Amino acid sequence: MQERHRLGEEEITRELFRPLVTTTPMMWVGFIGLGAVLAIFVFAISWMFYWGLGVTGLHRPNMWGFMIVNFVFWIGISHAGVMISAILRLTQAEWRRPVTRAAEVMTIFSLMTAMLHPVIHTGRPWRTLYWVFPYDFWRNLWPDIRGPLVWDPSAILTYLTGSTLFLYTTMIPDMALARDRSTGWRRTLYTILALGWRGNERQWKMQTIAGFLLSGLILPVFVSVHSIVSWDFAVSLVPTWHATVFAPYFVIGAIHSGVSAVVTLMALMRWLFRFENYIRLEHFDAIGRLLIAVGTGWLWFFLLDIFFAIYPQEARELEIMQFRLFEWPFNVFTALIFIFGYFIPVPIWVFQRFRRNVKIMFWTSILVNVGMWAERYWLIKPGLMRKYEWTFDWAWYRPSIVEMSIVLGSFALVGFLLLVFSKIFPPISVWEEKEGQHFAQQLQVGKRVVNAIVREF
Amino acid sequence: MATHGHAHGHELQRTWELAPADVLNAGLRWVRSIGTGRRTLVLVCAGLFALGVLAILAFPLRQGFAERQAWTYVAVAFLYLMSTAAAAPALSTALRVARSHWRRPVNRASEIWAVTLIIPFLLYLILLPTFPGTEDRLSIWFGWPLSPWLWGAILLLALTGAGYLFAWFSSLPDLAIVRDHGSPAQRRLAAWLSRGWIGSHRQWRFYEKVVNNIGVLYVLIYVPVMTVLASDFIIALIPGYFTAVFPAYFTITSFQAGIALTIVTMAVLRRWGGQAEYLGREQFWALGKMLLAFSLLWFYFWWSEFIIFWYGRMPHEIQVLKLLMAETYRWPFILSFAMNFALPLLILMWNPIRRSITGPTVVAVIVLVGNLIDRIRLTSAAFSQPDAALLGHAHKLKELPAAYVPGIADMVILVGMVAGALTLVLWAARYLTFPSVAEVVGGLWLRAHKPFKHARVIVIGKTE
Repeated sequence: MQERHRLGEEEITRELFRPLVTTTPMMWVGFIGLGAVLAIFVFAISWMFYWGLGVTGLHRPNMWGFMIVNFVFWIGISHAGVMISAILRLTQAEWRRPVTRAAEVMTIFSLMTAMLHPVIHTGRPWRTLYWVFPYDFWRNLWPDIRGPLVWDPSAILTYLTGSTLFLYTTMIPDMALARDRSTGWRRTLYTILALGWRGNERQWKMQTIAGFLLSGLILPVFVSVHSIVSWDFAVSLVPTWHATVFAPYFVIGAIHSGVSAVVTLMALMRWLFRFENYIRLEHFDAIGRLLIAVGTGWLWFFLLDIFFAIYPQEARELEIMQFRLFEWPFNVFTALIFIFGYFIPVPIWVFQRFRRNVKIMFWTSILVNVGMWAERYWLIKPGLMRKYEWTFDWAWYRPSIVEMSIVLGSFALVGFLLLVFSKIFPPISVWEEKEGQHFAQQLQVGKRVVNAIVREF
Repeated sequence: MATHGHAHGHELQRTWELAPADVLNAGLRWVRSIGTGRRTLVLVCAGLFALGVLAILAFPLRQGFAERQAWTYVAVAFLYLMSTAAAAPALSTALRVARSHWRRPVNRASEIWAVTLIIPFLLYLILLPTFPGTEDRLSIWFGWPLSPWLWGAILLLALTGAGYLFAWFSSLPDLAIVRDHGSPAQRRLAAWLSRGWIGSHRQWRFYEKVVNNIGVLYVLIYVPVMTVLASDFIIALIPGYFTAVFPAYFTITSFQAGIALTIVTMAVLRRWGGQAEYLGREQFWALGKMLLAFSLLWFYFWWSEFIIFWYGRMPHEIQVLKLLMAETYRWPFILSFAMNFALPLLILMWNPIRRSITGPTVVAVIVLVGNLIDRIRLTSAAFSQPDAALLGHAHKLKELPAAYVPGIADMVILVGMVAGALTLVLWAARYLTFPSVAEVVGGLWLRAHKPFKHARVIVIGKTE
């Protein structure tokens, strides 16, 4: 059953621009709440910069901790934008229309947040430029150009550039619409961003071609980004990291968590901006079905990773697997991953009744991301908490309050940036919604009237 | 009959212009007109299958189960059928779940391959005794009692059962048509199989609810089965081959071959089966895109393994690379790389080629050959290892074995088993309409012609 209502063009414009001109009390609560957490985030980082990395739980051999886990997590979330936008655009899935903009914006903000983590993790971020430029190839002093730690920034920056271009291209018609209906600084801003858009045939054609081309081009980048992040770990010889499955496993995990984050965002937008006419129950239904497939695919890779880590029966691998699966606190993480990442949400999503319940979709999507954060931690940390032939010592890793604040703050940062974005730009693509209204028709089949989508042959 | 319309420069497919009666007549024409060509083909295939069975009895069976290398091409035939014929119905499920309308005439071409599952099941049963028990060797069964024999057989049996159930259930309405309109010989079996189908509202509701679920069940069994086969037939038989991504590679490349098999089936049906009105450019274009995507995935999954081994430089990993890619099976690997990835990419990256009938068909044939070469490469490498190299937990490939060169008997076995599968498909095609009348007419009910700006478009209802 579709809940589509026929909406006039003027009505769509007015409703979708509403968050730009009115700030509801809930939005104020969001700004203030997220701003407060953000202040803690800034304080924690400043504290760490002032006192050095000693205020964190990082020490030999646990040199990668919460910040790197969080980096991997946010890179994962960023996969939602391309997954939703590019793939669904290429496959002409109609239900993509209300979610693409938010997903693309989330991609960009989560990528920016992710990139922040390795930089602050250095402890002296201002020295990053000094280390990186000019890049020292000759004396082999700095990380090898052939190493994944160098591939990482290249891939992520390419992805960020591509995603930004992708988002911007799809925003141009809306910028022109905003330009023609605003005054003051907003008008100046939208005029610059609209690039002289008049909506003539040639411009629409170029915009459509650019959208399709960028969708196609960004897909390999999207796959490569998380693959390369996975190789940060997998090309090393640390037991349980040196696994051939890491690249596709990280990518499918990223899609699982990213698409779940889009569900969270859809529910929040529906409640916060009163977008019931646009983010409808059928959209939750469709994305819920997609999540069943993605979640089951993720479970398969998760099990492959576990089973084939045990398969060689190597003492060191077994030791860490034992540690991961059965010892405190990682046994709790294992349970969290299984239960929150799959066994609660997916059986719920199997039922259409629950897929069409916004509250249930919201909470299950939150559960998935709790499970996926736990999974990132579970994948990265146990391998480091061990003594090997080539390490001097071993020790537990206990994250400090500073690191916890940074993790918490990163969520506030993304949320805050999304709220700011929705105050300046429409959070749902206005022109795509209008286009969708043109394509939607009704059809008499026997005694029933069914909703229909225009298909071109 | 309405004229062909043009929108966005490509031809309107004739299927959407037809009346339900036209589709019914086409389906009946298919079941009624079994020409001499089809009969001859069945006889030739059945003859080749018989030769293949004789070759198995005369060669590997006479050498005994302990000589695993003699069974290499029986295993190749088994894995090839699992990678192609058994994968094709999974495509149908994916398309059903995605609810795309273009898939309606395609489903039958992919689902019909489920009838061949009995052959790989029987091959698996005769291959089982060639495997040593798992108590004292590395395997994904971890020494579980009666593994891999009993549990592997149960998995294969479940897949075979689900496959037949899917093929049968998805054909129920069409079987009822054959029961009511077919020849007396066809009617008897069709009447038994159609189980009193009269097309009542209740029956249709049940059918629509259950058919997708059986398809999903099939896929849910297929993936673990391929995971286990990848492990038992390849990974566990190559000392030092410690890889978690290989089962995923094996499964994904099987889906690729399943798509290729469906495209080739469609091309044959279009050329010789009078299905041009149903299997048009729209279907080939859509499946061509899927084939391109899966060819890219072939590379991605291969690369995911290769880079870890190559970068890690562990001695046992380098040995495996030498065996499978760089030295012993270098040429099969190069051919496999070219035919599963490079050529499909270079050909299908061009939209005009993707949007043709010939382009995707040629690439599908290339992929089917490439997949066979890949399975030969992997199986030959795995079946060359003596039991002594596998027992215990040392599991390191000390010396590279020589490449296995197939003999005439091996070729007869391989061709015979593939021909056996074809025989079953041709036999089943006597009782099933092409195209699937229920599917295509179901789409036609939801169709309407409407003006849209300056174009004439077809509107297809989405029932949800």
